[in-house]
Amino acid sequence: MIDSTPKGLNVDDRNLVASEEMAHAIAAEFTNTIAELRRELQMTDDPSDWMNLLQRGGQ
Amino acid sequence: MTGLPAVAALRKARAWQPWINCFVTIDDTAGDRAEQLAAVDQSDADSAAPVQLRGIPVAYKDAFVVSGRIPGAGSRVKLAQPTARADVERILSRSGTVTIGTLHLDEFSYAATGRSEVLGDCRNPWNLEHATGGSSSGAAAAVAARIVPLAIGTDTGGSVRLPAAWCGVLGFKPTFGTVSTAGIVPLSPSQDTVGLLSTDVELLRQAYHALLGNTLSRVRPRRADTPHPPAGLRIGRPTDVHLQVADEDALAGLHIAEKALGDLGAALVETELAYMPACDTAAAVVTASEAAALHGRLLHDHAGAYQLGTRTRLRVGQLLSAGTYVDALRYRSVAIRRAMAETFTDVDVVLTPVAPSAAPKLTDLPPPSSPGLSRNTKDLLFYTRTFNYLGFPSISVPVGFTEQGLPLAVQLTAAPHADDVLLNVAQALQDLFNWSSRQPQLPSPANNRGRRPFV
Repeated sequence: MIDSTPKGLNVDDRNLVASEEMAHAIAAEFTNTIAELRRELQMTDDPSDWMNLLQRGGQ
Repeated sequence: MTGLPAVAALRKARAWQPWINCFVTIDDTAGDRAEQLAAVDQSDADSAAPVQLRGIPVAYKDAFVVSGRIPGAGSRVKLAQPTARADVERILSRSGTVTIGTLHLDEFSYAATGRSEVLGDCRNPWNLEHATGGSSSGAAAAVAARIVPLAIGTDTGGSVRLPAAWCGVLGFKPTFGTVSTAGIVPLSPSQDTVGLLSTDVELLRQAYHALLGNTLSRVRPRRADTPHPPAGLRIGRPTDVHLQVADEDALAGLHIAEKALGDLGAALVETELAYMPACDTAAAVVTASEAAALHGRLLHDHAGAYQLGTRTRLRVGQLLSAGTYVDALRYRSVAIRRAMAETFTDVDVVLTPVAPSAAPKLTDLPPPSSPGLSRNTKDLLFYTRTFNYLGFPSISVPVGFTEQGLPLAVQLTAAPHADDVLLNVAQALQDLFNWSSRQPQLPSPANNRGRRPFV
């Protein structure tokens, strides 16, 4: 079925565009939330968590 | 031999299937196998197998390799031929159960509605206009309709507990890692857990222990030593701030369980679950990242074969960085320490809703073709997903019905390896409410406003 909207996309293509936009929006939200958790991780100062030491090193 | 439970199960399956669409395959040879099993000398059976499992008909979510069949996984995407059957099905069959078929599911277990473009929607036996939930949709519907007394599903974010709650049956997710997931189509291997659904706590316990006793790890959970549970147990109730996504029906179920557990002698205490929102997002990140990695080649080669909702979710995983995934995993150890320190030092069991509501109408849930499926159904897993991320055991237990006749349920969660404590509390609630005596009735054109079967 051909859609007559200005975009000129058929329904399937329009859904794919919506899917891609939705995926980017959700991924961005997730990334931001996990970035906030990273701050909590850095505050734990767990000596077994070498990720903190690696990320702080080299300065 | 027509009185054999497996033969009766096959008969019920054929009668209900046109109405609720819970099966993907029904194995007509199950009746013959049940007869052979009944005829053989039971000394040939696994001597460690509990007697209660012998002859019990069981059905499996179509994510398990059963009888060498390639699982359909609710998808148009075809999987490669597996080399071995699912450990769980092998162990339970060796214990004397009879596999009668495979069950409806959301595509690749990556949704929670029970809606499917590929299989058609699964329908709730209590009201055919309503959803079963998912992703172990068929497992919950088949047990609710009393087709099988035991069904096996998987639970990565609530996929056993949510449909169990909406269909009014028990849905048990054991401690992560205690039951083998070999021979099961994975979604997120660091969270995937085999789940058991039943209307009988004791049967569920027997099946769970049979599975434990046959896993390589030989993990033995702590046996509950409370003689008359839940007397003496400390039950944690979340503070109101954690109940904001729950509607009146979900809160009514919670209040019913609180009163019952208090009357049975449990001590109810308020508990903080402040780590839940962070865990919810971290769990979603872990699931999306792992699922995207697993589906990478298939998604590249066969993108158009996936339902658009699934495809969107997998695409989210592709867009997340490895750093984000690693941080989401690192937070798990922090969250486990917080959960143990802030919650499970003061309480033995946490009581929460399972879902934000009772089963909604199918038309109130987005179709699997919706790219917004993930966002629209986000809250459905709020109370369940955290405990997959933490790996803690959790069970959905029916506690009654709404005024519209839809099941109400609560979720009980305990610290790792306290699975039997949960089962004991579930048993006490089942004894008290006797909820399993009420059964959905097989529809007919006469009692269903002249409607015809759906499939």
